This record gives sequence, C-alpha cells and structure tokens, in this order.
Amino acid sequence: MRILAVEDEPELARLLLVNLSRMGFATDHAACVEDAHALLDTCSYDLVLLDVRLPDGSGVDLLRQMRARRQEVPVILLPAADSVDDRVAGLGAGADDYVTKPFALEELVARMRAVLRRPGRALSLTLTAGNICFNSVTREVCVGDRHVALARRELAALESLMRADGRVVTREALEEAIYGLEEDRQSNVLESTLSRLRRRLEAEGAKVGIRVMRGVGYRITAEPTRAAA
Amino acid sequence: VLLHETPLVDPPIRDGLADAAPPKRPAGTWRGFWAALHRRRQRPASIERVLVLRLGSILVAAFLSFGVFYGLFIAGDAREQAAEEAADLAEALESSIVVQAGGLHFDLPADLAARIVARHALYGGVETAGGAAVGGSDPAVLARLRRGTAAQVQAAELTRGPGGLTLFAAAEGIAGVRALRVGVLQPVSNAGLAWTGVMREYREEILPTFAPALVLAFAVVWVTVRRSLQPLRRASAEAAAVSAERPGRRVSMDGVGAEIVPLIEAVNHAVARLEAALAVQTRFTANAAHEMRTPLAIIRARIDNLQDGPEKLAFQRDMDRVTRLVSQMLASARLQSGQVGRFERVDLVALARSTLADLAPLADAGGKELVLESGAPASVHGNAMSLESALRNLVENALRFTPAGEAVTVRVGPGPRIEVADRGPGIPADHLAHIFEPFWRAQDQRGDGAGLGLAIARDVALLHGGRLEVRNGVVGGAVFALDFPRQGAF
Repeated sequence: MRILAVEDEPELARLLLVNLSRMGFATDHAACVEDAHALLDTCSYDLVLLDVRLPDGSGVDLLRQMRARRQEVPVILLPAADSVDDRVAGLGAGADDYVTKPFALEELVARMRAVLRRPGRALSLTLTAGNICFNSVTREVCVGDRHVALARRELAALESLMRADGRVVTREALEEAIYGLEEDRQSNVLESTLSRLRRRLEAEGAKVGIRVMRGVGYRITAEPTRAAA
Repeated sequence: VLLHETPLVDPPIRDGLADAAPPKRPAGTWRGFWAALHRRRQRPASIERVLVLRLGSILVAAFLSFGVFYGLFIAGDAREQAAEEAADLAEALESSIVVQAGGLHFDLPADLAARIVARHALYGGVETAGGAAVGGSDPAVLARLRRGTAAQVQAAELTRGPGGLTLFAAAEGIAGVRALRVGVLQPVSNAGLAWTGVMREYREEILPTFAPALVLAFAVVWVTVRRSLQPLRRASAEAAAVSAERPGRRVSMDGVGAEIVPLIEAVNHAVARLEAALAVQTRFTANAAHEMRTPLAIIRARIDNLQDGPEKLAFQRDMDRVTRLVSQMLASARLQSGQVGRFERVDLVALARSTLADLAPLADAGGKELVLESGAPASVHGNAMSLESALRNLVENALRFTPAGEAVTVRVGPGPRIEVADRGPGIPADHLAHIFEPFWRAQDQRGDGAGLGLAIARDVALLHGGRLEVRNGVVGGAVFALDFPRQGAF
C-alpha cells in the first residue's frame, strides 16, 4: 500500500509518516499543492490523505483538479475546521471520506481500510468476521472451511453487514442492498431475510451474531446470537 | 400515556414571537366595544385599503353634496315645476270629462285617480257659460273657479290658509260644444317643494350623467393607488427575501417614491453591516477551529506514538475530552452567530437512524441500549448536519444519565418532532431554569460532559424556528423533545 499524505504542518506530517509506516503503509509526503501535483503525476498511489488548508491553495481545489484529470485514486480529507459546508464541498468535489482533526490514529487507519475495501476499488477482497469469509468477487461464503450457499438477498445482507465491520447498518442501507433498484419493496422482507440468514449461519456453526438495534438497523458481532434473542 | 406525564417546563426557551394571551373582556358593552376597536387598530391596516376607502368616500360625499346644493339652488324653480305639474293635472282632468245625460261629469281613469289621491288634491270644473258645475266637483274648488276670470285662474297661485300652503291651478277646455274651466287645489309645503325639486333633479339630470362618472372616478382611484403602491410592495418582498443564506441581496430602489428611499437605504445599510459582521464572525470561527485543531492533532499523534500502557490510555481519554469540548465550543460559537449551513428537506426518521447507528458503540461501551420508535414519515426544512448534532447531543446526554442495562428511547413524530427519553433520575424542579445554560452542570454530576450539549440542541432548534422542550416522563427519567411546530406543512 502506497500512501500520499498532503499536510503542511511539519510536526503533524512527521508523526503521521512515522505512525503510518509503522503500521505497514509506505507513505510519501507533500507539503503544498504544487508538490502534491508533482508527486501525483509521477507516482501511483493507493490512497491520498489530504489536508484542506495548504499554504498555496485549498485541498478541496486540488481534489477537484485531480478528479478533472481523471486521477481516480481514493482521497480522505483531513479538515481542521468542522464547518459543515466544508464537508459537503469536500464530498461534492469527489472525496471518499473525511476525518476531522484531531483524530485518533486507529480511527484514521480504520477509515483508510474502509475506503480501500469499497466495492470497485480492489480487484479481489475477502471480508472476514469471526469464522466467516466472504469473497466479494466470487461471492462465495465459507464458515470455517466449508462453503455455504446462501440465497441472493441473504448474500446481499451479509455482504453489507460484513463491509460495515461491526458498525450498525441502517434499515435503509440494508433495504437498498437486498432489493436493488428495480423491485417493489414489501414490509417485513428485511426482517425475514435477516432471521433466515441468522438461523442459517447458526446452523452452520458460525461464530458470529447478527444483532438488531430496534428501529435503527443491524450489525454483525463476533459472538454468536443467543438463542433467546 | 402522554396524558399522564407531568409537563414540567414552560420552557425558558420562548421563541420570542407572538405571546398571545387572550385579552380579558371588559365589563361594560362600551368598554368592550372600544377594546374591540383598539384591537382592530393594533393590526396594521393595508395602506391600499385605507386610501381606496377614504378617496372613495370623498368622491361619494362630493357627489351627494353637489346634488343637494344644486337642488337647493334650483329650489326656486320648484314652485314653477309644481305649478306646471298642477297645470298638467288640470288638463288631464279636463280631458277626462264626459257628457252624460245632458250634464258634464268627471270620469277619471285609474292612473289619474291614483295621482289625485297621491297628491291629496281636490278638483272641480264649471261651464264658462252659465257657471254650471261639472259632476263630481269639490265645492272649495268650485268657489275658486267661480271667483275669478279665466285669465286670473290660468296661472297657478299659492295661498296661505289656515290649513297651510295650497297650490291652485286651472285649465280651460271644451267638452262637446261647451267651454269649461277645470281647477285643481293641492296642499304643498316649502320643504316638500324643495325636496321634490331635488329628487327631480337627481332623477332626471344628475344620476344619468354623474353616476357613470362616479364609477369611473372610483376605478381610477383604485388603479392609481394600486399602481402607486406596487414599488413599495415589491421592495417589501425583496426585503423579506434578504437572508444570511443568500448574502449580497439588497432592496432595489426602482420606482419607489422619494419618501420611501431613505427607508430602503436604511434597510440596505443595516443589512450590509450585519453581513459584514457575520462574515467576520464566520472567518473567526473557521480560523479558531483551524488554529485549535491543528495543534490538537499533533498532540494526538504524539500520544498515539507512545508505548502502550496506562499512561497512554489516560492521555487518550483526556485528549478525547478536550477534543469534544473544542468541537462543542466551536459548534456553539457557529450557532450563536447563526451559521447553520444550507437548508434542505431532511427526513427525520432516516436522520435518527443514522445518528443512533453512529452512537451504538458509545451505548455498548456503557452496557446501554438505544431504541428508535417511528410511525409515519416526518421531515423538516433544515440543515441535516446541525439537526444531527442536536440529536447526537441529546442522545449522548440521555446515555450519560441512563443506568447500565436500561434503554434510551428515541421517538420520531407524530409530525416534525423528535423525542429522546432516558431512564435516569429525571430533572429536579430547581434545575429546570439552568439546564440549557452553557457550561451548566448539576452539582453532583461528574463525568466528561462540558454542559454544552443541551445549549447546542436548543440553538439548533431555535435556528430552525422550533424549540427544545423538556419534561419528566411518567415512568421516570427525562424526556427532551425537538419540536418544529411551524413546519407542519412538510
């Protein structure tokens, strides 16, 4: 993984570089828009971390220029101001995510992994949770070392939950995933799909649970769902 | 269930608009009437309405008084008119005479009889030769006819008698081969004469010519007033459209009268000063955010770089607290200067769902549950990020007071409203006045809250034309509600 960090504050840049390389990311550094352009034109990166206020311009403008030049590398903005319009502008300009300063390193790395894991980004990706594996390209599921065949809707729901990596997936997002765009939506299909999926995984001996957050959504957890739940 | 809950606060967060307590009704009818009149006056009247009504009244008054003066002016002629009428009557009577069995008799057709009755007139006729009376004649009229010659009775004459003023008119004619004279005697009054004259003028002269002119004049007044006020109406609409979301807008002075120009200039200057102040404030909060967050980010990175251990955990916890405080202070400063960002249609159910999903780890860490209850879809016109931060602060506050193993319940609707119910101890009455003050915390409350969350939620509610309410729930715990009553249309 090769990362470009665009950050003008030298001390923060130094610490970012040290910490990221310790976590296994090869990281280059640019301190201004001009340097960033030069590096982006010569090297190929898997991810760009982009400060918003730079001495010779705005990170959001740099991002716009990148997208205009068809540089489709994923970008995470690192704004220091939490003005809501900045975020909206950043996402509108083509950012994949933003992490407001100050951030915990773990938080930043988690977001980086999530962006790198998005559909269409990587050629092949195996998602894991507990003893379940999910190959996002072949769409094969295995529990332990056994393959498990799941229905289309159950597969879609499981993929959404596993991509969220333990975070809650809202009902809207799950419905979007299991229905796609063309189908009529019926009530209770979401509930029945997830309860089938849960029973199925339980029967296969999966060491994960699917927990409901009442009225909000679902998430996948490392411990199995209790039978009573 | 809601009915039994005790409403604790008439919130100290009045939105400052129409505090409409119904006025007491005064005892006396007259006082009541004056009070009603006074109330009517409190509502600003439409200038257009007032002008059209007043100018219209002036027109009608002018029209009426012109008629009256003209009528009085020509009242002198009224006598002649009355005489003419009496003479007409006499001639009509004369031609109604028939020869019957050698004698002459009045044989009045119905309409003539009615005219006679209407005027309280007396009538009679005599033959010029011999002086024989026509059948049906009144003796008083006969006496008058016999008294004078034809020439004398030809002209009408007014006589003042014991019964008042009477008018006598006569006509000559021939019935068969016999010449005769016919007379009419009718009571009149000066006022009556004048009135008859005025009415006659109205009927025959004034109304047919001036009524269309009056209608036309009224229409011209109306159109003129409307058109004169049009620039003012446009300027008002432009002034109403000035807002922080669309800076640079001003009220234009096209076509407005010289009297209105200073008002518009004053409004435009005030708007310009406010915009400049807001721009300074916006720059300040943005710079403050940048200047504070950058060193914090460096400190955070240094801490993450330390070796794992209790020391590092303690630093990280402190860091989280400072970060949260700075974020809240910056958010509060932005809201205080009215910076909320762009407004759009916001689905409250989806907003609550994603907010609660984000807060799930926080609830988990404390062994608490988050539950969302929602019925019909509800939405408001607002800024999604601000509304989310308001709800997040309310839920964080609720989680802080809810014991482990219990749930915080968020209810959306009915209507544009979100409630957050916790299972904590509720809010003592003597705290109610303070809970929305920035940095206020209960004496016995420790923990990481800075006391800004509720103030932020309230500011967001106010900037959306809504309010933040609080009451204690029937099963214990506090219930906070973001309510947007004036957005019912959405």
